[in-house]
This record gives sequence, structure tokens and C-alpha cells, in this order.
Amino acid sequence: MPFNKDLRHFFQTGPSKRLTMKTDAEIIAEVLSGNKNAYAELVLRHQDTIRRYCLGIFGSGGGADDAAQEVFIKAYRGLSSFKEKSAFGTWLYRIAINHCRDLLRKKSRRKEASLNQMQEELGDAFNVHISQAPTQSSFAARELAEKMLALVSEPSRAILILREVEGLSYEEMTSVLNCSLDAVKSRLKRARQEIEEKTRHLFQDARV
Amino acid sequence: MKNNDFKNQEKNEDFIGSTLRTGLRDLPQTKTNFVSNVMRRVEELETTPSFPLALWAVPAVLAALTIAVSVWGIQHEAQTQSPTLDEMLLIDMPAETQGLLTRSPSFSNILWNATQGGFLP
Repeated sequence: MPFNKDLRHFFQTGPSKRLTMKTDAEIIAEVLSGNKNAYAELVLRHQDTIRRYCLGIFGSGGGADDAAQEVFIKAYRGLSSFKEKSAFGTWLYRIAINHCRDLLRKKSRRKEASLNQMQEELGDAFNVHISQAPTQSSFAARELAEKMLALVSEPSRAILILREVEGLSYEEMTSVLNCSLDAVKSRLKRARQEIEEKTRHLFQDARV
Repeated sequence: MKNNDFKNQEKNEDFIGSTLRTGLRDLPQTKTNFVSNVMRRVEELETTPSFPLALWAVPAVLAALTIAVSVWGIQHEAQTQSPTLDEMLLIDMPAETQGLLTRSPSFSNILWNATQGGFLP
């Protein structure tokens, strides 16, 4: 039976983003026992966090959704090796971090915009953002956020998204980043300093 | 002065944090459904053999073929070139004796039986 007809209800689901009360572990067991369609529920549950992470790393025009899709495909392939020592979401984050890092490594061979050019673009995005009413500024706010993140290194970007955007606790971050609590704290501090230094020129004239 | 700098940095960091949260809170709409795209890829994975698997299969088949040919070659060579015990014993014997001895099924068997029966030392 083709899954597209089977799973039509998945794609018409509203904002609840959850169709059953089953836990992630129960769904994984179902997928591994042969019901491949059950995987759609896992994608539905975790798509926002992974898409958001990839968006923060690559920006809107950088193939973020393609990267996010690839993360779910990798997770599907490796589902039998998932040990449930951590939550499925944590495991998925790890796959996303490694996948995005690999992609960035490949992309870094291409010529990229200079820091000055990026900072100029950031200034423009900032001016657009503050000149608009909050209700209209969704696009402008996203553009500003993407440009701010683009200025910092990948490790800083990753940790800032996990903490500032996704709101992960320090304990969750130690699990996702596979490092100690002290390491998480110092990496976060460095990341905050890095982004603050690179965007400081925005705040010299306008204090929001 | 230093206290002011510190306060400014804190304010900047607050602004950065809230900008990132606001900016990335709403995901852009996708042209096609994300879940359906992933599931289509999953279905493709199930139906088509993966390319890396084929890449692994080629050297494995080649290695198996090489081993099979080598084993066959060794066996064939042993069968065609190595003389049997009978052939070795018949070397340098007069033609009449050879004719007489080779009528029996196995000359080495006769020799063996003779040894066991005490006919030969």
C-alpha cells in the first residue's frame, strides 16, 4: 500500500504536531518491527527543532530544509543503532550538528563573502528590523537573526541556537554536545562574546 | 567606566538572545510538505538498493571470483601434472613388466598387500 494515501492525515494535521500519545521509544519500536509509516510521526514531532537548527546554521537561502531532510534520513538509516541512552530528540540533535558541520566544511571550499561585506549586510538588516512594527517584522527579524549568526563560527552558532533559540538546559546541552558542564558553560560564554564583539557596531548608535 | 561597559555588554547579549529567539521562532513556509518529502525519501530507500552497497558488492564479487579461479587452478594443476604412485613405480621398468603389472587395478595395492602378507620385506 503506498504510504502517501496511508498518511494523508499526517500532512493535514494542525498545530498540535502530535497524532498519538505513544512515546518516541514506542514509535521507534514500531518502525523497527516493520511499520515504516510510523516514522512520519517522529518527523512530525521533531521537524521544527531540526529545521530551526539548520536554518540558524545555513540561513534561509542556504539549503536549510534540504539539510534537515537529510538529518531525518540519516536518523532513519541508523534507527536500529539508537540505544535509548538519551532521548530521541537529543540523538537527532547530534546527527544534525555533525551533518551541518560536514556540509559547512564542504561549503567552506567555495568563496565566501568577506567579513566587512557581511557586517554591512547585517547593518542593513538591523535598520529594516527596527524601522518596522513588531507585527510586520517577522521576515526582517529572521533575516537579522540569520545575518547575526552568519558572522560567528560554527561551534558558536550551534551552541547559541541550542541555548538562546531552543532554550535547552545546561544538562541537555552536555548530552547533545557530548561534553562536560564546565565545557558547555565556557563554550557558551565564548560564543556570546564572539557574537557580541561582531555585532557591537550595531549598538553604538541605536540602543534598543 | 568598567561597570558601564559590563552593563552595556549584558544589554547587548540580552538583545542578541531575544533577536535570535524572535527571528528563528517562526519557520518559513515550505513549498512542499516537509514530512511527506522525508517519507518519500524513506520509501525510496526501501525500494532501491543503496549505491554504497553496490560499491561494496563489486570488490567482494571480484575477490570471490579470484579465489575460486585460484583454487580451481591449483586443483587442475595437481590433477594434470602430479604423477600417481603407480606411475612413479612403473618408471624405468621394462615394457613387458609394465604391461603385466598395469592389468591389475592398482600396482601400489598389490605392493601394499604383499608387504602386509609377508611376501616382501
